[in-house]
Amino acid sequence: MIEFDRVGYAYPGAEALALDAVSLALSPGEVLSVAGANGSGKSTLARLADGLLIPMSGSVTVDGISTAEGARVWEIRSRVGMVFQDPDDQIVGTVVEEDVAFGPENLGVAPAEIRERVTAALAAVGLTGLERREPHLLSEGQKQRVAIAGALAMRPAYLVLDEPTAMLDPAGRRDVLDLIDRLAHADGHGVLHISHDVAGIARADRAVVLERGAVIFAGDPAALLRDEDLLRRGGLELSGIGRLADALRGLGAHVPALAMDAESVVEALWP
Amino acid sequence: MIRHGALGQYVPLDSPVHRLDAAAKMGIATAFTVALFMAERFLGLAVFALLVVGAVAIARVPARMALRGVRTVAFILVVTLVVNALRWEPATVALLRVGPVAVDAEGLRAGIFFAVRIVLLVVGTSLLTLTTSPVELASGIERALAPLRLVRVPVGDLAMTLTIALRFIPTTVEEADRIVTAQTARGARFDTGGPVARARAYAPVLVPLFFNLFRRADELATAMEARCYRDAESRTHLRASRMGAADWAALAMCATALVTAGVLL
Amino acid sequence: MALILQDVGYTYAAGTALAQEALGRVSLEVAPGELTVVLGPSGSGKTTLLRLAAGLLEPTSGSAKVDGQSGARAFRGVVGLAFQRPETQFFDATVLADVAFGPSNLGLDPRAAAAAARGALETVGLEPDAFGDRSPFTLSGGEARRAALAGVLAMSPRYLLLDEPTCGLDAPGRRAVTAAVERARRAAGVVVVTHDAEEFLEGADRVLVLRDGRGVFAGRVNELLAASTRLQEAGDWTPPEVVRAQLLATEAGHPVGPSSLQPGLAAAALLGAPR
Repeated sequence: MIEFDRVGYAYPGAEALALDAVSLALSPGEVLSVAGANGSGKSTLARLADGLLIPMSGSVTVDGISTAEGARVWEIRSRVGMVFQDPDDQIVGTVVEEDVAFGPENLGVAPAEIRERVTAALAAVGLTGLERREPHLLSEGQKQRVAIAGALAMRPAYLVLDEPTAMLDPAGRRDVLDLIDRLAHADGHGVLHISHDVAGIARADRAVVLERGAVIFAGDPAALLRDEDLLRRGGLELSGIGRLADALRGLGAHVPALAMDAESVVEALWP
Repeated sequence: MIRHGALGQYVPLDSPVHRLDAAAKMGIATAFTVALFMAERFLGLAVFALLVVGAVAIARVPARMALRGVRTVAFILVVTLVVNALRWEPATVALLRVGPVAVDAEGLRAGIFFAVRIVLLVVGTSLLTLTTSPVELASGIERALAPLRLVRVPVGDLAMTLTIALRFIPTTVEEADRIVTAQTARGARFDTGGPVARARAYAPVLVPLFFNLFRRADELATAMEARCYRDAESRTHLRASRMGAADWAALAMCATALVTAGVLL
Repeated sequence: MALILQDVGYTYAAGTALAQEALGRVSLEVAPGELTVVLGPSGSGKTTLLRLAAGLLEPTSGSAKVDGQSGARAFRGVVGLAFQRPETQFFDATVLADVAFGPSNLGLDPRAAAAAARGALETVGLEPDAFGDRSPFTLSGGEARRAALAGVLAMSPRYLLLDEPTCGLDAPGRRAVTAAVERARRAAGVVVVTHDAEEFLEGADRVLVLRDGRGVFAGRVNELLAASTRLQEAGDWTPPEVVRAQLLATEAGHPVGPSSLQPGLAAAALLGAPR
């Protein structure tokens, strides 16, 4: 489990706290969605989860190890895989397989096993066959999946994804959301998904909303999606289908709050 | 659009040259360079030219790509020719005379010799980058520099730096192109005015480019740390290249042949 | 007075061994005050189309004319283009100076350029007194995006081309940008390239759908909605979920009538559909 216990953090030189007494927990096999307007502390949260930043107050522990324990920070980093928003800021390899191998190479894994891990990671993200491709010849969606594969190759128990779908087109976004679903529910990873995409929130197991560094909501995504005020404070907006479902509910129909695609809505109206 | 072979970059083909180990190729390239500078006669240059043509053919690299590097040094070639061939008020007989400036036969001959040698050098050594992938190249350099570890030189970190630089060349060129286009769309002109004006016109391109590069370097460092990059010397490698018997043999044979040719010709 | 691209095609490195056709035969038209939306996935040729519409490229076939004239000089200053993530192109010390770059290049003297910059900043909702003196590198995501758009608007272009203007922004940021585009539309003809149909489709005068470098649909929004089943089946375009819900309902035997983009109307139509 990744546990945040009343974590407080302020960037050096900043007046305001980036995070203020934030507590949350992430278990293996679940997707936890974290939302918030720009500047709410989401990215700070991500970096604290991996030991890239150390809390000023409170503590962050990963499977019982505190991130403040300097000597064991590498253990934490191999358990928590991080994927950032812009894949071009993460891919260091000159070809796909070299980048995916980067993590295991750093861990001193034997070459034969590195090869196995690379193959498995690329298969998990659906990019088998692109091993020798140069990164600049890939689409944004493919690059993002290479970054995810690079994290998976470290065999982490947890994945922290910081706005992975921000730069993608609808098809790319669907692919990544499907992947997140598989990684958590089929493969057992604990996934912290930071996003302002309501489709992603609807598919998560639990949701957390940050506002100016503090948690203003923690619980069921359905409850969040029904609350206009929370959505606004979290910098979120229902997409067209979400507003359709809302309008239907307003007219008396029983459409679940999590229905975020055409099939679910039609299914609800005419089961 | 960056395509294979641009900027002397790797062209992925299968040939005996491609299959040679990077370190062996680096050794051969070094021997070639040394030998080339030992040659003193045009006959020597002709022999080396034949060798280069032969190597390019064996490597199956399209001639056009092999010659691309020459365009980059065109300016140097012209300067070399001019500096050697022109004389100021010579005492001896000249081929051609325009006022105080004269074209001297001996100087022209020397200029052509040096220029041809530069061309051969560029084409011959670019064969190294054309047939060796960046990863193999970095691995070769790392192994070649390995002895420096004894004097505390961070060879692993240097190899990593080189790999990252190679990885970002196409991305950075694309980004520069994008920025130039964007500023052009805002009315910027890069083709008017004298040299000073033109240089200043590039500020709207260089500032964002460098800003983004530094920002990216910062983000990249964080991402690398997140993937546990620390002591570069103890990293393992997905593809561990090593010099095999064939590579040593090729290196030995080529080096000897080249140096001999250099000495004799 | 209009920006008209007629049957344009473009091939990169035409005539060489590495030739690559990016656009086949595409037509695009926009007049001041109108909004044309260009839809299509990545790789469909949208970026190439924008460059042709901005006069940055000469079409290899067909013609591109702005107000009846062709050639790069006719486009300069008349057609403004904002690329994807334009905030990565800031270079000057203050927001005002960066925004004034465009008008200065067009020959305005410093006072006029600064005035144009201030006007543009107001159009995008960035108060010039508050933001003018700040360094553009310190702006937040949504603010930076709008400041970069102001940089293009400051040239008072008669035609404005925007490549994914809301990509990567959060909800408040997207709202601010769409509001700025509405304001800009009063004086200019706007072309928005987006892969998020919902954002701009409702207010559009014309829609162009691209796929693999070819126009698979061109017409009005209601015509696009009427054609969505056909386009979806051909794999040319996937309509927004709101529309898809209405199409699915019709397919399942509950005819909804013409699809609507507006959730309220769509909900009423769905509930009123005969069973």
